Amino acid sequence: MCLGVPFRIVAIEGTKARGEAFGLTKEIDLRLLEQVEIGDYVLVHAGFAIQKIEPEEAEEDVGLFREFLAASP
Amino acid sequence: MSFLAREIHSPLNLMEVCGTHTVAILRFGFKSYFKGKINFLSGPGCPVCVTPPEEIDRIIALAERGVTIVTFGDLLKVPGSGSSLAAKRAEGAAVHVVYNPLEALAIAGRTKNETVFIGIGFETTAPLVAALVEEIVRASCRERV
Repeated sequence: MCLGVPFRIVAIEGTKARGEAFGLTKEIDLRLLEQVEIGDYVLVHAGFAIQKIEPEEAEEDVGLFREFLAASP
Repeated sequence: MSFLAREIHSPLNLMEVCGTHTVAILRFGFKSYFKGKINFLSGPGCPVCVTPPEEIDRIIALAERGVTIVTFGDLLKVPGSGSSLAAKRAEGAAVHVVYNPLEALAIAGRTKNETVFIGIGFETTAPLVAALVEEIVRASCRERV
């Protein structure tokens, strides 16, 4: 539950958005952030975007996640 | 254990990163066994696993009264004084696990029972629980209008 996952925003409708990560698309609530645009990376926690993140940082996080998942039995 | 402590020649710093670790370190007396050998530091663990048993007992009491309980999954196995929410759910209590707190609204809509969302978490979950409160207030205002 403590885990935040970086998603890339692919569609926005009001305060609802769809985000993509690891080939997975999920509905994301944007109400806690201002000025989120399509293509932005956000940190998602329990269905809510809680922070905008720089694309480089997001890619680094995604790389670490992939490394971790590859190492899991 | 004292054999292990003798093997440590210079003091170590050990940081636990989860409340479950904090509880285990206390329960098994590691702090006194390794006094002067290991300096146990509390890390960025969330408060869920260190929820006092009385809090869990209160939630279980609600479930036993027929209240529908909605919670994040990590609270399920946290022990109360005699049971846990996971055990109560296995016995048939209405305990629902959600990923997003707003899912509680749909669950409440499907039942005639009183529904309680258990908002135990830390800084990152607090605004999400606030969003649920906002939605409940908005919905009850609509009902009055």
